[in-house]
Amino acid sequence: MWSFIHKLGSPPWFFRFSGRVVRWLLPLTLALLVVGAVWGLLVAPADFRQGNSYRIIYIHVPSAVVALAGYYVMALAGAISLIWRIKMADIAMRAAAPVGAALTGIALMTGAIWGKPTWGTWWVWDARITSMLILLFLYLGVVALFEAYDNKVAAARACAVLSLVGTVNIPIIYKSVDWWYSLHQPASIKFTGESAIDASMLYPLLLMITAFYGLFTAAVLMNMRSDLIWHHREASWVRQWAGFK
Amino acid sequence: MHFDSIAAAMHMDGHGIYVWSAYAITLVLLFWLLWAPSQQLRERKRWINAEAHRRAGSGNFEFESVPESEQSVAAEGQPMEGNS
Repeated sequence: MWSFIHKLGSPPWFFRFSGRVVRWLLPLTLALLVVGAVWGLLVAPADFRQGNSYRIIYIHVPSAVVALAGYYVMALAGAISLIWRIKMADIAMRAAAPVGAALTGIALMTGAIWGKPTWGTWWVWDARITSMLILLFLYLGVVALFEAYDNKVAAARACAVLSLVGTVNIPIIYKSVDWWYSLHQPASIKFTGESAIDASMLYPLLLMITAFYGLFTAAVLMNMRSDLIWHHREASWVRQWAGFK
Repeated sequence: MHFDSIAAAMHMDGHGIYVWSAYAITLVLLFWLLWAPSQQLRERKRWINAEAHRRAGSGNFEFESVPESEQSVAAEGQPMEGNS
């Protein structure tokens, strides 16, 4: 276990390992995504109250769930980078930010599109939606902050602090539908007790959540690989990989 | 299958425009999420190879310009050092 963690810090080893992971994870994820989307769009029954508009749930919920989980990944990587000064953690933190931003963007946009036929409005400034918008700004903030610094060591440190401070937003997002009265419905899937969603609708949703987790992992690893290769472009193993003998 | 025909699946009792546009936006963003890093890695691989050849002084190798997105970084001409 410890030797595995130790190896993760070695750039050439990580580059080869992540390449293998992406190679099998990506096709698997895309297959899950296609199956889940077809199931949710065409096979699952319509909702008795919302009709067919509820089918947006199959992208809205997975993107929101993974955007939230992805923030923890980014903040954790930020903490590791800050405390132990591990370069790989810094690279992971920056790799997660654009992916999380895109997923948060998807959650917000699909939520707005879903809101129109269901609530009669594209947008309300309720707690859940506003805190998700803040999440988007936090992700974009990490991306922008890193670009703003010329000194990349200081930039990484500032990004790590920002992502750590931003974690206070995550429990607020989770609990927002319980703490404040809003148009947004409370969670339908529960880890404890009965889920408020029928199995015929639940299975494609779980499939899509799994697919989005896979997609997040693959995209972050791909960003990390690109960053790693550029960072070590003077190293001989990188030149060999690029085809220089 | 929930729908009887393709037309019914497109229309979704009036909700088709919302559902399909949401899926289309998602598809575009997810595609970008995977395409952008793989394209960047390919560009960097080409640049590193060309740069290595240039330094080796093979002479007959056409040196390619730095990918536009990397110009500021490459201009430093020094490998970035880790902070450890």
